[in-house]
Amino acid sequence: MSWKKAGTEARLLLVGIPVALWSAFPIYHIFLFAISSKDSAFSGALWPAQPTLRNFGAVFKQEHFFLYHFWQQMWNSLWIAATVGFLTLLIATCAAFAISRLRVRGGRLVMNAALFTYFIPAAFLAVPMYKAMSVYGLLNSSWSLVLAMVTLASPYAIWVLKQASDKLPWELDEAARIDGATPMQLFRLVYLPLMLPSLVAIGTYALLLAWNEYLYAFLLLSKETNVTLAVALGHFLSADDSPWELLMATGLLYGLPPAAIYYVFRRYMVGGLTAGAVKA
Amino acid sequence: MKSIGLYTVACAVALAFAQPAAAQEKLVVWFTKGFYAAEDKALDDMVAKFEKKTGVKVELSRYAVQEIIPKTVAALDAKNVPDVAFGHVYDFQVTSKWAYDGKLEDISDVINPIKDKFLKNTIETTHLWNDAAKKRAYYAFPLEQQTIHIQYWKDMLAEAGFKESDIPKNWKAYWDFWCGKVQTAHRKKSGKRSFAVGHPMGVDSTDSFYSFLTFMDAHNVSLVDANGKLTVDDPKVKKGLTAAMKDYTDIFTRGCTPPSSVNWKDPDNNVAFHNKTIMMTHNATISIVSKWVDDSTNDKLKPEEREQAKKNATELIATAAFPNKPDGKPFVYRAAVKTGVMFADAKNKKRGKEFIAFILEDENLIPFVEGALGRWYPVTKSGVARDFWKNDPHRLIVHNQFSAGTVPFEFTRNYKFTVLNNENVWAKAMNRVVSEKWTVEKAVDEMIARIKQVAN
Repeated sequence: MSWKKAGTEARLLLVGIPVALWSAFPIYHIFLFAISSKDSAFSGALWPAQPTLRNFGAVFKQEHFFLYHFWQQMWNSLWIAATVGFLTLLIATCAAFAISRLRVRGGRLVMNAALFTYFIPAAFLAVPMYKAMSVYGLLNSSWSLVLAMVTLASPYAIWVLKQASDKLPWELDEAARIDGATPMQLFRLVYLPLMLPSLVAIGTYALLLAWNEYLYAFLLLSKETNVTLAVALGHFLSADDSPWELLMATGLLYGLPPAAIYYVFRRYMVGGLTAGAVKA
Repeated sequence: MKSIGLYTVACAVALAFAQPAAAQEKLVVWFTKGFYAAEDKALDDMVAKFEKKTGVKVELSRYAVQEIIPKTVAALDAKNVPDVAFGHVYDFQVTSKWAYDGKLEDISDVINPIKDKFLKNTIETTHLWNDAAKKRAYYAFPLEQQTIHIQYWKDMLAEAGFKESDIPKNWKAYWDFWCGKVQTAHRKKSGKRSFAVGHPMGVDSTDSFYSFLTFMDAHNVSLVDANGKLTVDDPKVKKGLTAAMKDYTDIFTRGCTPPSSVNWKDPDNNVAFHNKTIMMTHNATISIVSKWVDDSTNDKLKPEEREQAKKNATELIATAAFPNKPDGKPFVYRAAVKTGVMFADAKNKKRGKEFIAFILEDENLIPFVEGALGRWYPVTKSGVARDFWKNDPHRLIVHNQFSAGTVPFEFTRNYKFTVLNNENVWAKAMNRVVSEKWTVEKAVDEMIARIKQVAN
């Protein structure tokens, strides 16, 4: 290795190591609390004298007052996130296919509208969305959050998938049509297989968006048995004697599914999302 | 044909979603989530009894303390409000303002027939001015109340070489004792960097303004007169405010409270107390000891943990009143009355009023209040007369503090003080002194200017 290259490596490490530590510290802190007993959680030690998995046991067995509905709330989060991922993918894939491959009329308008929605921060739409859901009698139903999140996720998903599908060679469609393929066959047999990386990336994006959502979940869902785990975690802070060790153990468990999903699909994520970054 | 099919599907979907809205008569109720399981159970029992009695389905939702106001504000903006709502911080931040703005329903027909059962200070708090209707009426109902207490570790005091009887009774000597003698001795004997006082000063904290306003009471400062008119131009008031601010910030500048206390939120003095970083703190409920009482009967904890919790609650932690005021007179505490409301836009006012009357019945209200293990004090005469408040040393102190009489918060006379509390002008002024090194006089001048700007 040349001195120049070694110098560059050293400079990168000088930046990279502090950044890595800075990023890992909160996660370490969560983990530390999660394996500490109630009394030692605030001891300030870098490692607890007697690490314990009891907090996780308390969470799994729903042993604390704030955890009585843990499994129900975890299920709510999973169901809502998976449904949002599926519906967003369904809508965005069909829309992108129709606009990009079938060249339906009004496609450009839909694309511009999708782009326009990003001028409005999601938080601004929270109260109008609350009002709309109340008009439809959907407040406190999981569907209210699903519909809201699909509404928020779809424009970006359509935009990315349309740009990605524009890159597919037009000749493939022509060849399939010459062989007598209908639009549905074209969609199923040609379009979907070629778009798989982008579809996985967008599905994951929508799923994680819904999984991490707090504001809309907090506003649209009310009953303790209906809320997502993200909202339920907020209940831990309602007492001025918050059981931090349980909060962190629950938070750690709540962070595992998205981490696993991201890890499994990581090779699709970058390629899939950047596929729509540059117009073909 | 295709469009008919689509239309049919759309109608079916709409009907499926609309069905819950067309179910049996319902009442939407929002409550702050309890601090203890017993509170939630008492409310659940109450709701079940009400449902059985009336056949009305109660849709009960619970929210964390810090969440109920944003949620209610969103509901008000969307004009889709709950029928009845109760929040532990409504009184500090919104009840008076909502009443002033005409957003609340007049529930005098519920309160008037039963108003004699309430303690005078509590029912007065709910008699509010509606500027839209130009009338004063009962726009809220009281459920429970709180005031400020002192809690300290007896074992830490003993470790420092002092007895409880050594604690002075007069104002200056009291703070000098903790800040000077006890902290110095404890550090010397334990070798730990302990702090004598847990002194909340965070801007994002209700404890900090409750504590500061208590220091203000110690100096006999009243910021409004009986009609809610500001008195801050009175030189005596300014002098008292300056003295209160000096006393409050001195504890920080003398190094008697952890440096992090300038950023403390409400739970942080409790946390510092539990892990024995501090020896004493002032807290606007007896939540510190109530936590150990709760733990002592928690069957999810190990027997030795329950035993330690019991020891903490019964032997090691003391609840105490404040020392006498600087003028030597005994303290008169300010009480915050926790209020519930019915909104003017409520859909089911008839049943909502029935529900309010129902929860204010002794057999429903008492288990709810006592479920909080002493952290909230009753608002009814029958509630305070119960042995529950006399058969425990901590609760007895609370009872005695309330029994000596209380004074209301400024916002009960001038609703604009809810804005000042939200801004926490008090903690901002403290931080000017301790963080930005302003003089106390300059910080108080700025605080008074802001009070006049908002509440005049």
